[in-house]
Amino acid sequence: MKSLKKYLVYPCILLMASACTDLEENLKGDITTDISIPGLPGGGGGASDVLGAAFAGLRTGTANHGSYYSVQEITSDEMCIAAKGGDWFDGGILIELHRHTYTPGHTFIKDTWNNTYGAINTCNELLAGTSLDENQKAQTRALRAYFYMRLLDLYGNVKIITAPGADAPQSNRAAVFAFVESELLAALGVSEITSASNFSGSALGTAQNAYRINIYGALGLISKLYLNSEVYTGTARYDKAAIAASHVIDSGVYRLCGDGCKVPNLGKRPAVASDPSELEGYAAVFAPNNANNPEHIFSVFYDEVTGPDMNFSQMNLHYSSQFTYNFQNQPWNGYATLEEFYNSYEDGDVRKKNNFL
Amino acid sequence: MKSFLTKWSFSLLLLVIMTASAISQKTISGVITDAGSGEALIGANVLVKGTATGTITDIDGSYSLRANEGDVLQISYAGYTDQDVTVGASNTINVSLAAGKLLDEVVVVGYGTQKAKEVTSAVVSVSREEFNKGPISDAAQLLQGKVAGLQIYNRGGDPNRASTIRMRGISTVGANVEPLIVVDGIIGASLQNIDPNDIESMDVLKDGSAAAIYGSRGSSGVIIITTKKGKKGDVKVGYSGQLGVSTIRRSVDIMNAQEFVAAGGTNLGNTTDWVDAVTQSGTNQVHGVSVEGGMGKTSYRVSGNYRKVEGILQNTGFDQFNTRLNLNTKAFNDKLSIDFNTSFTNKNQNFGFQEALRYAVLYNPTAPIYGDDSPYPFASAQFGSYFESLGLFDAFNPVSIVNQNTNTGKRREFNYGANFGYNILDNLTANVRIAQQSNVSSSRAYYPTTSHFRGNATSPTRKGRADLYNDDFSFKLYEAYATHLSEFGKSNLSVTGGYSYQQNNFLSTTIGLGDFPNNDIDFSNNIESSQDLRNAGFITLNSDASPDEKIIAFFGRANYTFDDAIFVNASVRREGSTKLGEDNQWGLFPSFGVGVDLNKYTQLANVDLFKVRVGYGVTGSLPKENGLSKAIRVIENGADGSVTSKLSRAANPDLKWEEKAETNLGIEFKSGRLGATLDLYNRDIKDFILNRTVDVAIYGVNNRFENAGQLNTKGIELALSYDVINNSNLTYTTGVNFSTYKTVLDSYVIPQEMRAVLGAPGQNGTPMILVKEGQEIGQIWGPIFAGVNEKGAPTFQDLNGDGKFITDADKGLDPNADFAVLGNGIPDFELGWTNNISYKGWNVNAFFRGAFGHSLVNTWRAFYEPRVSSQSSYNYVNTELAVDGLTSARFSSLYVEKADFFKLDNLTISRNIGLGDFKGISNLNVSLTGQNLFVITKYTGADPEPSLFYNGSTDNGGVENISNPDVLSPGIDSRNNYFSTRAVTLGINFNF
Repeated sequence: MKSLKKYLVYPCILLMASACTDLEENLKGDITTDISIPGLPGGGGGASDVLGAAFAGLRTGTANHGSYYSVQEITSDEMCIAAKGGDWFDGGILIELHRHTYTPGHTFIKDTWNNTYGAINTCNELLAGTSLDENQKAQTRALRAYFYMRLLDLYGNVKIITAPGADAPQSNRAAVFAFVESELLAALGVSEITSASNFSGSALGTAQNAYRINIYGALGLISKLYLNSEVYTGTARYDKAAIAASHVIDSGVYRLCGDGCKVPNLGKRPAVASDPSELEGYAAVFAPNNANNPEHIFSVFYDEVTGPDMNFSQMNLHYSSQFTYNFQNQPWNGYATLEEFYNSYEDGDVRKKNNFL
Repeated sequence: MKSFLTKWSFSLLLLVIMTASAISQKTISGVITDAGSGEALIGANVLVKGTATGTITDIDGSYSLRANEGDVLQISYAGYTDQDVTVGASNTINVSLAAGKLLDEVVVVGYGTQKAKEVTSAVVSVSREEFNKGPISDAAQLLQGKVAGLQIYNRGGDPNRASTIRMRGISTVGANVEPLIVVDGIIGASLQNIDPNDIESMDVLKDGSAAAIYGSRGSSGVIIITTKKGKKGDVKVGYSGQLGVSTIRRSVDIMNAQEFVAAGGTNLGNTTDWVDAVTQSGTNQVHGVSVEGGMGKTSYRVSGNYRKVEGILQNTGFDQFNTRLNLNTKAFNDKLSIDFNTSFTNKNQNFGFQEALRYAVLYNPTAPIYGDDSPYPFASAQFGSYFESLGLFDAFNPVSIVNQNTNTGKRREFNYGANFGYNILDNLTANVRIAQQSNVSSSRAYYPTTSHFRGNATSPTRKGRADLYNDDFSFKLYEAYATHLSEFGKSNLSVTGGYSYQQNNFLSTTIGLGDFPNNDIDFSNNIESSQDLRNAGFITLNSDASPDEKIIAFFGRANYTFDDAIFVNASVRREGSTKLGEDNQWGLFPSFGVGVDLNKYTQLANVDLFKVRVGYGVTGSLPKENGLSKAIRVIENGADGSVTSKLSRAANPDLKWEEKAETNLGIEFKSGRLGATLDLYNRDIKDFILNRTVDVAIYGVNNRFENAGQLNTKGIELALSYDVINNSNLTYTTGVNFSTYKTVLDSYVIPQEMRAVLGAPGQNGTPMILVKEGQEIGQIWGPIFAGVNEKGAPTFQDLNGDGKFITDADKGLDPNADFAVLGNGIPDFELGWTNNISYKGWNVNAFFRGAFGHSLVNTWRAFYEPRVSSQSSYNYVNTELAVDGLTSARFSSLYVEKADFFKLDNLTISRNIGLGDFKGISNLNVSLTGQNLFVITKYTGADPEPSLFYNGSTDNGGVENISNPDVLSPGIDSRNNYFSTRAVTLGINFNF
């Protein structure tokens, strides 16, 4: 055995030791390090920057089946997914959501949790790096606060993680509320929201880009947080909600989309005369081409090429609606509203006309 | 290139060292043959009597060693009478040995051969004569049912889908589940590049002690294939041909048009047998020609094989041409032997659309094939003249699928291997092996603008679709090892040590796009016409390349025999892989075995062999993917041109081998006409490499690959053979092999979970398989069907008697759930029964096969048998198990069926026709083979064979993902399975 080693192993080791035993794995088809390249200049307010992946975290599940949107909507009195013929019973998981008999193992509940913490991690990675300017830091903190707001709203007691790889004990709902509040206030550059608050010290700025967060976006978020404060903490903060909202309204930067606020109707079918050629007012707010709508303060970016994962038309419509609306793909015959909810709108309400078929 | 050169220079250096070490004596060489048949004896011992000098004969029966004139050579071979020859003036000594009372064969083990008697592990050698007969294009199927404990299943008869192979059941969770294939010593060779006609024998290493010499890839067993070699002498030309027809043995029971209308189905006024409309009689033909011969020290064999197969589904099949060359020669006074082989396969595949079978079962039997026969106005032209029932979920005209779309592929495989063996000393042989392999495959699917199925014919603007795929796989192997033989007193010792370097590289490109102008041509060959190019968001583009996937190993083995009756084998392999965490790339794989020929000491009357052996060995498993220990990120491209990335998988630098430790106890017995081999084994597999859920709050993503879990398998395998009749006119031999095993999940990533979701329509959130620590794998878990309520819904049993019915499909893990084990997907035992009768040139071979105790979820019934209102637009599955009045589909015991079966797998009748020397043709053999001639089973689905994995559910024209089979979810007869087939084949063989 010894002589064999001499013949085989030693020459090998002596001649080319490294090639003989080199097991370094240099991945070619996968990305193992962070890549970040700014976009075109001129977006303003930090819009063309390194925050793309962080804001893209908003898209996951927000307008699709099985995550945030489903958990938010079909558990409410607005929507349900009932079994239809042989379809959509799905082991009872959809009825459970509507009846609130779901358990922690429910895949929708788990996926929402995973998606939200994944998005928080992307924010944490950015904040742990050195590439962000002050505006970007403030936006990232506000964005992270918003993701925690989702957790606060859906789960209550959660871990507050502020650095990648770190762990923390579970915080109670009031502590998560306090964290979200403090992060938004920090981004706004103030210690509390009062009528006299001056946000000129905020790095968020006032540049308008609905897909990023400016001062008004952060104010909107904190207003919403205060609006639900009584549920989250037991202490009502409606006054603060009103003050934060007033700062946005009084700024005059945004306005409701009313008469004259219109966009071309991309969905107009040439053969259907009753399809309007333009969408106006309330309908324009939710049109696919609503990019510059004056009502939008902070919204999630979706488009066909770089912002996929919006599936509303498939989730809601009947299989055969594919032919009615000339869709590329067959709808799923899934999400539906409840009769009581539909009837809760008065006839003539623009929402009734525009939100239901 | 650099590494290639260094390997070569290393090989040369080794040869130089070896040559220099030779000492001065006379070289004797020769061939040892069987006195009866004249065939070469492989692995015969040639020993200079009274010394430690000796050697064994190679694959041609040749040997060479150094000896002095006057020395006595002792030639021995298990099962033959020893012979002594005195060395004279001649340098050539050829010896013919007469067969002794026990014919002992040689088995191929890792890096060498061993006499069967000396093997201490569970190794089964299957020769060409024992292979399965008939139209077999997949080499693995030659072994189906022949080796106890080796499970080979090919559900249905899709000619383009490879068999599922398992050694002693599930051997890994998350890593590579298929056995390691070794062809003529080349580790990891492709089974696709070897024609079944060219295989001489297959050796199956079943247990850990046998496979440990192959280290990290041995856990799922090893199949060693030896191809046919040329024999010296005149040129011999052989032809072997087959012509066969296959038909559907069984499909899925559905309603005909009349029954369907009577059951309340939507009547569209036609009568269409959809299954008949998309199927055909399958055909297969094989032509193989081989030329062999040799002169001087060189022998060769060249073969060419052509196969053409058409499946029972229209537009499926393949044709393939394979050629192989084996060349063996000797040089430098026979000290150097060179074995070279190369093979090339060119395969054209017509994958077709297995989905057509699914939709043929499902489609409304009163619907017309063509739109012109529609009972209501229908835009036939939009759908290529075919009818489509628009507005339904998961409904496509199957005839349109088959006729309008194409799905084809090409595959080319080339490999070569060269082995240089050199006798440095009489008792020391060194080997250097170099092998390379290159596989290139491509596929193209095209769906014209008028195809409803994936072709988007309903789209106003974006019709037609093309999917293109290319990949390129290459493999390099460099190995060097040496074997030293010694003898002292009653002891013999053989020691082998070596080094192995393996490298894989992989490249792929995927393209998918649509929106083509019209149906004038197949635009998959003209994708530049796609209007999707104007809107890149519609286009799917992927490319990938693997890193240099390397496996590097040092190994050694010692085989010691004492008194020709006590055998000790030990091996160790230290092996490293690039696929594991930086800190855990190297693993150690030891084995140890002892065997005793008790008969030598007990001398029992009428007993020829009574051997007991025990082996223990550790092997590993590698994941298929690369980079699992690394953190992986994905790119997020912004609308403004910005690029950012986010984490998609967390790193785990501690990722290590999945390890299997196996102990095998074997008893081999032979007495007169009876032979028996019994193996008992116990094995523990731990540290599966699994994508495990981790705390998303800490890791940033909820998954990373970790080592977790432990499986224990205990099993028994018994093989019996008996020569019932043995006289000069008539022989009848029969053999049975039996295996049973039980696999328990000792620990897992979570205490319990349910998996294998049934799917749409209506049964998402409906997992069927329970995975629970401490329990057997493969348990089908669900509520027990009790009856039908007044609404037509199923009722279930209140199993725990608490008055509550917790039976919703996702409540299976609720402590109060009324769920039970409805069956197990793994058979209790499997059986193979061979019968061979020869009478005056006639031969009848009947092979029966069965599996017992397993269940299958009949998903066809689970979805489509209840008279669900929406199903009235499709068709109903209608077996004898249909329940009257049930109008709602909910998974339960109702759809879990026992699938025990016993079948006549293969019946071959052949006749050797003695032609004398008729026009140069000799050895004419004509055979007729039937496969699946009868199957006894109560299972109502298409095929009762066990289903060992689940690919998940696909629907509505989706593409089945076959890359990630779930091995923890056996027992599901999925909707995408092929129908089972029956085949009859005529075969002719002759030599010139």
